[in-house]
Amino acid sequence: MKTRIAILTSNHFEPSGIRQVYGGAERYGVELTRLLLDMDYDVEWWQVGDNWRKEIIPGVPIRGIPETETPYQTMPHLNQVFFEQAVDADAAIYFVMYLAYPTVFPKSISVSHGIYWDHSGMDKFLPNGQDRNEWLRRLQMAISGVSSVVSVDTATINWVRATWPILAQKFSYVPNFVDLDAFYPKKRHDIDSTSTRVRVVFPRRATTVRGINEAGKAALWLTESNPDIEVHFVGRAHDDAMERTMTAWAASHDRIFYYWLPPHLMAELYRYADIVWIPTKSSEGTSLSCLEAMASGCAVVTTTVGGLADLVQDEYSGIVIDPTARALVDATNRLVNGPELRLRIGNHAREVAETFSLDRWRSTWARIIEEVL
Amino acid sequence: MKLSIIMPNLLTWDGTRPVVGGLERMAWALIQAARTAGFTVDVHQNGNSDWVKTIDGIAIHGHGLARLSLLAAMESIHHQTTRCLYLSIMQEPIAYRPYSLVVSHGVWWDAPGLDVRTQLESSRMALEQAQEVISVDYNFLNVIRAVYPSLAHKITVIPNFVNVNEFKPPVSPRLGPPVILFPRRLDPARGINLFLDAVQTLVDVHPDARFIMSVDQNNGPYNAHFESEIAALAFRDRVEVITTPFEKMSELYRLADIVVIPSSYSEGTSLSCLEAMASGCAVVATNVGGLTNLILSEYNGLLVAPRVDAISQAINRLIWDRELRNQLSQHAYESALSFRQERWQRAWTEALERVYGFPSGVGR
Repeated sequence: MKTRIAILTSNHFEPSGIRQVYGGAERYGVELTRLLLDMDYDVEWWQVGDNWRKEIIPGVPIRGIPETETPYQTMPHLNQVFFEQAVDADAAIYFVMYLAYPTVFPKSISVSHGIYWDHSGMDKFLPNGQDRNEWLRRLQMAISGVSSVVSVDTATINWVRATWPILAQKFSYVPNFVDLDAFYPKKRHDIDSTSTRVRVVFPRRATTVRGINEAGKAALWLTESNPDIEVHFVGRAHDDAMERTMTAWAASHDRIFYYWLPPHLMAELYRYADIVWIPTKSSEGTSLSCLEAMASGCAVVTTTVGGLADLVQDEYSGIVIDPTARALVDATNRLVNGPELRLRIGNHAREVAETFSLDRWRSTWARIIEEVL
Repeated sequence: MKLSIIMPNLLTWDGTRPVVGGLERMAWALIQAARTAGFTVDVHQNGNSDWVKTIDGIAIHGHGLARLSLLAAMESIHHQTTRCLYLSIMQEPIAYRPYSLVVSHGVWWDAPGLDVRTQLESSRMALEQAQEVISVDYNFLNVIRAVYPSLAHKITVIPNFVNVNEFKPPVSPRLGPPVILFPRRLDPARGINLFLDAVQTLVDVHPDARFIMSVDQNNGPYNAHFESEIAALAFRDRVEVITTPFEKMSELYRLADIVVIPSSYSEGTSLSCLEAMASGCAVVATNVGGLTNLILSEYNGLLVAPRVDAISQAINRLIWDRELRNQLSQHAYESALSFRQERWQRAWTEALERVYGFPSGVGR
């Protein structure tokens, strides 16, 4: 009989089960499922939902558990029902670190997608010292319980090392991956050397933590001061109202664009771009957008947040800045006025991205799974 | 305009000998940068009596109260200075001068047994009182952002530097049996035992490989302990232990194929790691602290967990795979160029002018 692996996540699908949230974590989930099937395991998923049953990829079920409470930023009820329903599995994967609180399978792995508590907004959820300590106590328990934690970046591992030094040894660094065949630099003969137009792309969701406000301001300054620059904001916002606001804003400014694209067109967008902005303010792992832009040979402008430091070295494979509009403008102007710098950084970015292949990700994950089982 | 650099010990506490270490090397580079920018610099440090020594035109003040209390010595320093630069946040002065600058050399409390809460508090005090904290790595910034998000904006990162004119790859390719070098101080944080345990698994598999440890002689008792520890090793004859004066280090790196930086805690953007990279060595480093800002694993080195098996596998892989070694060392050399000293000096000059004003009198 095949070894059975049960996976618990919070939301692969929206809890209603209707719309699929297709971000980085969801792509990660699909690739992990494929790997486990290739390793000849039986795989089954659980998440928050109203007792529905769907398939995450053909043949692999995902079931909804109607537990939505999140006391202290954890989900103990979801954890408990999962433990009961998946009881005959041989091992479990907790797709988010805190989901392993309070009960864990003897053989288990959890996944950290990066630090997400590095902004003042966390105080809305943990409004006082006691609450914060309780949240930390639960997170510590979640980490202590599992056999192994896979982290997408070294920032999380080093935060754990600076918080509970002993627990850091549970962690393995397995950075995110990029599809190097889909994301490749534009061919030399495709570059129109007569054009002086420089395209800047912000390929993220239009949200505060991703730096939309700073990027918006920088776009205004840049397009007003330089007729050769255009800025494209490409990504959904939180809701329809925000998307309408963005669209109206873009419409009233020359050379500023706002739209969004399905995943399969993103590679084309990066080849169309010269400079890519990743001005994250918090909650970042080894960003897929950043990796894809790098694989496409773009000159990326990033901040120091979380896993970005695992991808970009300042002035070598990108430009690293503080998340302010002023710094974005300065870095962009340097790249606009320095085509050689842009080219050099873009070339190095592609070289670096080549070490983040899906194959390498799969073999590292496979080794960890074999160690745990 | 006078600027006082405060640090634990640029000279020994009796003021007779220079102390050798990364912090001290950085201090001398910073003194030079500040002078070039037009500041008049002096140094204040702990002493076992009050003394003043002048080296290269720089007055170095020892504060004898340190014998009784480090805190009292800090007060004595405050009484004699106006514009202060606190070179090590680990000195925990408790009270910082407003409009001052503090330097963090990386998270230092990430070892089992240390009081995490107290150390975080001391970081918070520095961030609240000083004008700006300069961090040598992104890791300190990211840890602070995850603990005190609203204080993160006070941190500016200026990674450490390497002198690429001095540290450069050998003119002709390295030949002969592989040389594996451990170029660190004898400090438990630097992973001496991780290295020795890894070497133990490799000596029989690679009978022709040379394992060299270049260590300091700063601390007599520590050296004696280390000597007796390695004397007992069954493979003692396979490990060459040497002490290399700083001016000979670049030659040593040029001799080495593989350099191991196995820090287990308290690590920033290690000077040894940068120097090995600039010298075109294939580096095996742990994923601790600021080392992750220098090594992109599989691109310009190998980044591994601070565990014996992981370190030993990585060294083993590099010994066997000459092609990988060449590729990593080429990229290490190229990426080290972005850490060259001129860039560091420019960033530091800007920081000094931002915080203390222009020495000519313009600004604050």
